[in-house]
Amino acid sequence: MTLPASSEVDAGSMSDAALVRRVLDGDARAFTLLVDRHLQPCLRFATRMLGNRHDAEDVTQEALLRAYRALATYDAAGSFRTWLFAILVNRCRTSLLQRSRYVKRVVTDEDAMRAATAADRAASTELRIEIERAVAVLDPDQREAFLLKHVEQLGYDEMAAVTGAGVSALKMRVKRACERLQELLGEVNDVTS
Amino acid sequence: MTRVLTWCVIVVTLSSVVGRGAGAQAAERPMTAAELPARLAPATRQVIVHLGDSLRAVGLPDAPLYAKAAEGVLKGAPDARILVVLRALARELGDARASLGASAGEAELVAGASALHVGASPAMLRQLRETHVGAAGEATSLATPLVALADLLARRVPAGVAAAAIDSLVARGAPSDDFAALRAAVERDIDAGRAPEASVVQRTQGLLRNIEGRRRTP
Amino acid sequence: MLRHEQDPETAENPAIERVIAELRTPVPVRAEWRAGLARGLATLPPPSAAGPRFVRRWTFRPLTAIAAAVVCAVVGATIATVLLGSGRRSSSAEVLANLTSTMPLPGEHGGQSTVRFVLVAPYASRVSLVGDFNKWNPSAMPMRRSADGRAWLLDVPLPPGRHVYSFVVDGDLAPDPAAPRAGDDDFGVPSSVVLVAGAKT
Repeated sequence: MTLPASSEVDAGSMSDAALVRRVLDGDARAFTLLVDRHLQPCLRFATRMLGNRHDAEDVTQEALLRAYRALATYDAAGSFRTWLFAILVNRCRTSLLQRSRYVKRVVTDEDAMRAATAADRAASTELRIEIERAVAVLDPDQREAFLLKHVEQLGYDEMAAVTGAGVSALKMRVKRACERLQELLGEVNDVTS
Repeated sequence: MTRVLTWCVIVVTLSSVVGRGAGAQAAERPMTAAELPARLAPATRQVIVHLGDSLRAVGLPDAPLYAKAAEGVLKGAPDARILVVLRALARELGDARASLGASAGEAELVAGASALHVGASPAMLRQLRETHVGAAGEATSLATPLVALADLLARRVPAGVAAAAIDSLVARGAPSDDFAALRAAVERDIDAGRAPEASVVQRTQGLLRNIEGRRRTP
Repeated sequence: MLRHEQDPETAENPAIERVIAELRTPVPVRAEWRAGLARGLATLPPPSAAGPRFVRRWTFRPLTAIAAAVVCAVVGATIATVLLGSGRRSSSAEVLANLTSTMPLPGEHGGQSTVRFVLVAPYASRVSLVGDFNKWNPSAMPMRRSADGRAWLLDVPLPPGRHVYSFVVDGDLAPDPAAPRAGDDDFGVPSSVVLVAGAKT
């Protein structure tokens, strides 16, 4: 029987809970492995939820730093990802509240013409833009539930733990989100067909 | 905290003389198709002009359509999105008139369309109009109550509750200030964490009591 | 660890499946941002098993959360300004930190009321008003700086009805923090609404 040659190999195959234990025991580098495992879904959720990369990066960074500082409060009986997403969802909600103070750069005719001539306006790009727009106009509660359920593939019990909402309310939000998306994208097809 | 600061520092300056003080601007005339932003692709522009013509042909205002297109361009929306929004607006203007009647003015149609856009039903608009005609007659505008309804719906007040609240104020002949007060109070309540439905019910009851009080005290 | 419960109502819907597939596409992780995150983590003290109690507080106490939100708003806006490369003294943060007020004035003129728009933005160098009443043209209605230099003002005669508007502050579009939000933010960027009461038009 061959033992792992290094602590890195060992750590790579460890569960999230074991890595957390290791960080709390003084191996701060083990947190890097946790970040590597969860960075992509966190950044993806924040990007889809907030609709732009800059806000998503800020929120994800903040959530990970907060998770690191609060690591001792994580209960190993539960899923680390559920715990991390609860922090992230909270940060996204705060960011959305600030949308009342949203600032966006004005697009002048000149800017738009420049962008239009430079950009590759492939059909798939148009579709992606429309999907992003449709997701952006969903109610935040519905968008959050839809993304957690269908994009991040959390179960309803996990979603309840992450959002603080009841399972039946979450199912209703997901259902309404689907209906609204269909309606919105149907309108796009009507116009472009 | 921000709200407290907001109300502490808020600048409320009244001037009763038009054109004095803050560099008064002449109001611009309604926008026409010829003034659509240059950024729009020719095909998009053609669709918008066609939509505008269709509205005018049935006696509906087309200026809101062009203004909406200009807003989309300024906000960097792609043409496809702008067309989706404009088609919805055209439909809502038509639905608003169907509900509010042929005598509805442009301000009422625009306000009605905005209420439909955020979740009011045509039946709610019809009901409001009937109540309004019964209480105040055809000559006065229903635009203010319709805008208040749209604002409440935008703040996620359940549609039935919002419509009932506005209807009860319209029935008692509430002045414009009351609708503005309702919007502002509910917005403050919601920001403070109160349930939208409870806020609307309580605030409306308060306004109705005030109306009754004013009637009893000439 | 995770399970995916398919909803019968959505699982077989091709339009929704297409949306889901698109949204599941991985988001690129920028190397500079990843490096910044690592630097941020390196500056923090290692978490101890005892667990600092203050960490729990921010999550659950509304007042602390609001204070954090305000700080984040200002910090976030500063970052946004840097990223947008405006490079001017008038930062978005300054706009965010300041306050505005609009209200319809009582004067009437040819069936129109004059609305005074006010934005407190002492560090802005150029502010204009855009809305459905001026074709959303950023150069149509420049605002005038107040005598004390803190606020920007403009009186605009408007016909009765619902008007949607926003401010343009040194090239940034900013809704009015003191006015109701327009419910129809169709383009993903909020605007504000002013209501001018009046007779039927």
